[in-house]
Amino acid sequence: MRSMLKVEEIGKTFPGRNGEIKALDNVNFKANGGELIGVLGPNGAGKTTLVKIICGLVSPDFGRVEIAGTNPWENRSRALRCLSAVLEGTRNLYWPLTVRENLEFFASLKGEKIRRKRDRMEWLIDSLGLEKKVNVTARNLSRGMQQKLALAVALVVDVPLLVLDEPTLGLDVESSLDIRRLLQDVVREEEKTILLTTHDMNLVRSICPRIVILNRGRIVTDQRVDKMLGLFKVKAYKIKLAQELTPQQKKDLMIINGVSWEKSDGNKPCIYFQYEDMREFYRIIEILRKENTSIGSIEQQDVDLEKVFLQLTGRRDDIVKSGFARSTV
Amino acid sequence: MSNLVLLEAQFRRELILLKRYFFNFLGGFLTFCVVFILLFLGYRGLAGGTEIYGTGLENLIVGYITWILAMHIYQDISSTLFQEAREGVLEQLYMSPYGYSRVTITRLLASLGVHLVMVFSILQVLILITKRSFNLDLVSIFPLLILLLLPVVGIGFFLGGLQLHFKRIRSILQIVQFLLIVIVVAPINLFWASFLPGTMASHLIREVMIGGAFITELPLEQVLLALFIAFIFPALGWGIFKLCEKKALESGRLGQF
Repeated sequence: MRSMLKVEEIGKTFPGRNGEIKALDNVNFKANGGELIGVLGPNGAGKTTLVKIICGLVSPDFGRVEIAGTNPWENRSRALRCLSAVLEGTRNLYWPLTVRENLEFFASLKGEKIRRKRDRMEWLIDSLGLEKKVNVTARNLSRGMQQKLALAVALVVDVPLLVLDEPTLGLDVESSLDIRRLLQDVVREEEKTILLTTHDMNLVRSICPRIVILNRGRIVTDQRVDKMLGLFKVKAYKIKLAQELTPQQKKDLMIINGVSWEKSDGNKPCIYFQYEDMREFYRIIEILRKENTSIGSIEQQDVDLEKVFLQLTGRRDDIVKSGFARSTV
Repeated sequence: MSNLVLLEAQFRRELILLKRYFFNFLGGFLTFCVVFILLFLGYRGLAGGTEIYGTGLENLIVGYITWILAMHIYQDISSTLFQEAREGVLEQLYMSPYGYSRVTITRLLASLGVHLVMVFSILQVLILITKRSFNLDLVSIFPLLILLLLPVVGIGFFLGGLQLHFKRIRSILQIVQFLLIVIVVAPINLFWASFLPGTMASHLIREVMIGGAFITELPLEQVLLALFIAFIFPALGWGIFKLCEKKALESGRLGQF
């Protein structure tokens, strides 16, 4: 399948008050035609910098971006003909223009004649429920409607790559669902490649088959969502204990990767364990056996995307070391 | 990808905004007329309430309308850039395959049309008030207006570039609006003044409108100097703008304000 977006060895450092801030460090990934990829990461992970480098709005210190085979830093005009973007929610609208006028203006800005885009504009207006607002200026729309209009503006031209930075930020449930449906439609029917950054786990889980998690400027994982959740599910366990851990047991457990404990289930201690090496599981059992600690039960843990995300971004170094997270699709 | 598509879109946008905010346009028009009337009355007061003789008043009128035009074109670059950054649309304009330069130039051409209508209307009002007449030879005036406006475009890009880099320089932008008065009315018998951006072109416009000269009758060395200035200032302004743009892209501050 043709690669629509290639990001190779991208690095970017910004000057900060206390020295340089590494926004992106050796970031690599590819997106094929028709893929919908969610980019997740905590604040300051480098998501917006990555998006802006792809859009040609921030120059990378090193590395290379290719959009449909063209580097925007070498042939800007050609690369930008293949790309539309919504940046930081609603930041691509002319506030004094109406919904329709914005659609017409931005279609022209991409070099499209308006009369050729009439049908697509009508389809977008209908799909996003903007029919009653076509003659309302962007300034007078609600936040949700502005966001929908921003998305419509990005979709009014037929480009193969769509980049969306926080497309559902601050939206109500209904607007968020409208946007999800539209994104799924354009991926399925038009085979567009969509890269979206978000904090919205529900959005990612419901529409993105693949996610890239960024943390401190590095890709922590790049996986299909189902595969990643499956990998975590078989490895995550909760060991319910019948009695307290001794100080020596706590000390011994602390040196094992992926182990934590807390009191839950009626104030009984529980050990949460996520193994990367089966021998570590036996070590835990051995630690408990040595002091005759009774085990109430051992349960496989349900893992949701949020937990995976927190584990990956909170324990990045361990996970990268294990080599697991760098496996790609 | 045709430039006409972009130009047409910019014209359409200008007309929509003109229609939507017509009272704002009308307010601007009336303000300029009222300010001139005050200037006119003050001028007469200084002259002892008698009729003003000579070309002083004609110079005032021509200087005033060329300043209005120059100021609008300057604002179209510098203030619009600030507004676009503030509203967040600047990054989208940068993502146009036409490139920001073509987007700006087509917007300038579109807004020039609106400003010319406004300035011509103001001139008609001033003629009515002062009962003076001018040589409105458009064949001579229009090329000279271009020579006047190109250096102003250069100043606009220069300050627009500084704005991309330093972000908050609005006070400087406002001061420059008034410095444009010096540029359009400075007498060219001061040697250094001839090299100010647009001063020579402004002088030549006065020669046509007040002196009744045709463009071919103007002193060649003065036309050449106006041409040189119309080339060098936009080139310098554009160069500095691109340099600041590069810095803004490196620092990731393009869309910030």
